[in-house]
This record gives sequence, structure tokens and C-alpha cells, in this order.
Amino acid sequence: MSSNHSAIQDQVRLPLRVAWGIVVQGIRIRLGRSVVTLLGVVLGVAFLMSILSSSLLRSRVVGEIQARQQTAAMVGFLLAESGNLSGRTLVVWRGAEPDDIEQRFLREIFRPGAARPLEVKDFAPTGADDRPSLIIVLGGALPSDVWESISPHLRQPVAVFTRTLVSDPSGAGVLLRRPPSEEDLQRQAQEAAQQRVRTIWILCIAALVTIISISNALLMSVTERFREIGTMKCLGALSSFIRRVFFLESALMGLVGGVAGSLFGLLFAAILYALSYGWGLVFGSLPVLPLLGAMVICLAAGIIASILAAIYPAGVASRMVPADALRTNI
Amino acid sequence: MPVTTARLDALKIRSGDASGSCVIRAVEVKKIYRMGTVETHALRGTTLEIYRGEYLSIMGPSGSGKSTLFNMIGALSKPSSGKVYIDQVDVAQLDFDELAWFRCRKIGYIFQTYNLIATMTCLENVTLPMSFAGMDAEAGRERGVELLKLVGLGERILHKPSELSGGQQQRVAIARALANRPDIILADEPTANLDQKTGGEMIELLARLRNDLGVTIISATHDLKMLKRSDRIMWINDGRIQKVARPGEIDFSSNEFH
Repeated sequence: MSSNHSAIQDQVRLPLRVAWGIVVQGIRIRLGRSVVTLLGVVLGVAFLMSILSSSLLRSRVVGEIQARQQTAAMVGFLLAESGNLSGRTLVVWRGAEPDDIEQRFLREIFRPGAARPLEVKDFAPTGADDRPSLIIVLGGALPSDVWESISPHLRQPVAVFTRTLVSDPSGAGVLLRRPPSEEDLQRQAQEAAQQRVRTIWILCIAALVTIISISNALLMSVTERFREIGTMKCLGALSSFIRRVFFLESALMGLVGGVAGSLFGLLFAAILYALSYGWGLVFGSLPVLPLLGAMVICLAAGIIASILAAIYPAGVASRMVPADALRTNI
Repeated sequence: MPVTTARLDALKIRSGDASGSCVIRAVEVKKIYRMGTVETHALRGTTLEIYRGEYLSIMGPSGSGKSTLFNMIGALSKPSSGKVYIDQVDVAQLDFDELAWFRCRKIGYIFQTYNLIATMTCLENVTLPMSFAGMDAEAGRERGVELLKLVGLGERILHKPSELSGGQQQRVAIARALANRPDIILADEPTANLDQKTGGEMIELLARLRNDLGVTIISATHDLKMLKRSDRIMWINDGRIQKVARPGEIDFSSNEFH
């Protein structure tokens, strides 16, 4: 029975070309619905690609991100120490040439509308209302004579250090830039793990939604084509041929949607990163090979999702009774 | 091909028709449809013989079991009990793929609504059953052109169905039904959607094909012209064959036909 079965399979085997022709013409004729199906794939794949490519882009701009985080942490510490700084004056002592982080820090606290800087060499004792809040020490060293001449005139007799506390004549200096503690590192690792789980969860949901929407669109296509399917079965099409038509259609959708989706996703992620970190930084150092790898993953995901989505509709189509084609009153 | 042909030969049960003059034999065929707890007896034990090369018309109101009988002799479904032999092969013993194989080669279908594949040209529609039968594409094209010429559409082989009139579409469907040199052509109300003149042309075409190719034509119809042209007319009612008669024995002016 089984050898005989395979002989039939061989004889009625359609050239893939014919199935392909049916698929392509079917898509062309029902372009509107095909585009809707395609959109489902494109959105799903674009979502996956944007997540993959943003993690890749992130690793490229990670220095920038860390610098920003450090700067923000320093500003946070300063505000915790001093309270609201807007409109206040801060004395600045340059113990060393400011590094990148310190420059960012200065730009941040002395941005228009925030605090005003006052260099030590320009310092002159003034009235009670106009006193500077505290002294900021760039670099690690504050000469004790500077401290002694200025500290009596500050609202808060506090020295804030941006690098180290090695030379601190005030005896109670505050260090803004702290190396991350063991606890912090642990917390960060934990957060990263949680983030990963969340991302995987969201991706799973997105994959499900995509698969269901493709499946639904294909089911519509099956219903639309019941007469065509029945006719083909009357003419001698095997169920496997009918299945193949739908799997091919779906895989083609997956391929096209995968290409478009991964391009959109990449573009979306790149533009988002470029807007927050600068076009030069993002586009100047695109990790081309890893991104191509991510595109391949997305393409595969699109095709696999489409094929999974086609299982049910293709089954429905292949089980369709050929006699349905003879019924005229539908 | 050899394995399947051998299998079909093995399935050719000696059905008391050694000469093979019967192309279809149905013996005590019953068909019961179950929907939930409700049983519908569509056929209640039908026995019939259809001879090779004849032109048989089947009449019957809707719900008479006509469509079920049609599906049965078209190898589209299997009987609940009883036997259906098509070309001496008991179709009940074929699995789904074998039924498809069988339909592909033995039976050509003509539908009331033509059922051409809208996305394909006339030629592609005609060659589709040939590619299902595994025929080489080049040979298929040649035969397709030949068949379209045979039905009088040699000039329109690359047109889409939507560019053709109803009569022309039905001609394409007839060419398609002939694609794999079937023994039987099964036509379901082939003239119902056509005007008088075009319907008449279609009937003449079918009669000519029957004479030239020796193909058996079975059609469900209420078309008087078609009934008059057929060799035998069979009435089905309530799942049973009520009457079989030759056109000469029938009074076509009776109420039944108007």
C-alpha cells in the first residue's frame, strides 16, 4: 500500500513551478488582502529586528551611555547635597584639567537657567544674599589656603570633589564620582536579567500575535478560494499539492515580510538611537556584520512564523471536499 | 505509472461485466449524511449502469439525491454502503490520493459556473489537469492548444477567463475536462448559466465530442434541448431512481418540462 502510495505521489507530483505560479498569481490578484497579511509579518519582524538591532547599536554607543549615566549620577549626588541649584552661584576650583565626564557635568549644572559658575580667581566676598552655595573641586586636590579663604563665605561650607578625596582640607568633602559598589553591580546584573526576561516575553507575545494574524488572513484566503480549491481537487490535485500552495504562499509572505520588516526595524532602531545619541555616533560606527546576522535571524523568524501560521489554514484547505466546487448556490 | 495501474487492475473486481461495456455500475448504493443526531438518507439503495459512450441526462429536483449520486459516480465521495464501480474499479477501496489520481485521469468535470481558475489564462486552465497528471509542460501546451482549437477557441488561448463570454468560458471548461483523455465527462447543469443559443451550441459541442472521441457524457440538466439530445434520461427522486427512458418514449410537451 505504501509503495503504491508513493508511486501515486510521484506521478501526480506537480512541478513546483505550477504551485509557484498559482501562488504568485493568487497574490497578484488578491493584492489588497495579501498586503494586509504582509503587514502582519512586516510588523512582527520589524519589532524583533528593532529589539535585536538596538541591543547591537547599544553596544556601540555604550561608552556614551555610560558617560551620560555617570554624569547624571554626579549631578544627582550634587543636588542631594546642595538642594535646588537654580539661580545659585557655585565656586569652581580647577585642580586639574577637567576630563570628559567632568566637562559634561559642568555643562549640565551650569546650563542656562541652572547654577552660575564662579572661578576661584574671580571670587570676592559679598553680602549675605549673594553668597555662593559651595565649592566644586575639579580633579582631586584643593589647596588648604583656597579652602580657608573661601569656606567662611559659603552658605554651606562644603567642598564637592569630582575625582578623588585624596587632598581634602575641609575634612568633610563629598566625592561625586563613586566607583560602583558590589551591591550596585549585583543590582545591575539583576536588572539586566529581568530586562532580558521581559524582552523575551514581549517577543513571544509579538510572535504569537503575528502568527495568529497571518493564520487568520490565510484562513480568509482559504474561504475565498474554496471553489478554486474544490475545482483543483476535482481536476486531480492531491491534498498535498493544495497544502503546498498555501505553505508556499505563506513562506513567500514570510520572506518578503521578513526583508521589509528587518529593514524597517533596523531603520527604526537606528533613527531612535541617532536622535538620542547623535547621527555621527550611530551611523559612523554601524556594526555591519552583526546587523546582517540579525537580519538573517529575522528573515528566518519571519519564514518560520509564516510556515507555522500556515499549518492550520493549509490543513483546512487540503481537507476541503472537492464536491463543494460543484455546489452552485454559495 | 506501473504500480498504480497494477493496483487499479487488482481492484477491478469481476462485477459481472467482463466485457467492460459498462463504464459505471452502481449497486445498491446508499449514502447517509449525519449532522449531529439527524440522519439524512440522500440515496436509499440506487442501482444503475451507465454504458461506455452514452449520453445520459439525470433529472431530479433539489434534495432528490441527484447531487449525491453525481458525487458518487464522479469519484468525489464514497457510498455509505453498496458499491460504485467506475471503469470496473471499486472506488470505495481507493484512498484520498488514489481518488484524486483516478479523477485526474478518468473523469472530466464541467460545472454550471464554469469554475475556471480566474488567475490563469485559458491555456493554463486547460493544461492544469495535465500537470496534475505529471505530463511534461511542453507536451501539455501542445495538447492544450489542440484542445482549445477543438472547442473553437484557438484564437484566445492566452486570454483570461474574465475576458471571455459565458459560452466561451464553458468551452474552455470543456477543453479542460478533456485534458487527460477521460472516459467520462460529468457535467453539472452545463447550460444553466447560458442563453438559449449558446446553450444549444454547447449541447452540440458535447454531442460532437461524444461521437468523435467516444467519451461517456453524464449531465444533470433540466434543459429540454439537452434532454432531447441524450441517449437516456434518468429521473431521481427521494434518493431512488424513479424512471429511465429514451427521449423518443417521452412526451416533452407534458407539464413536467414546463
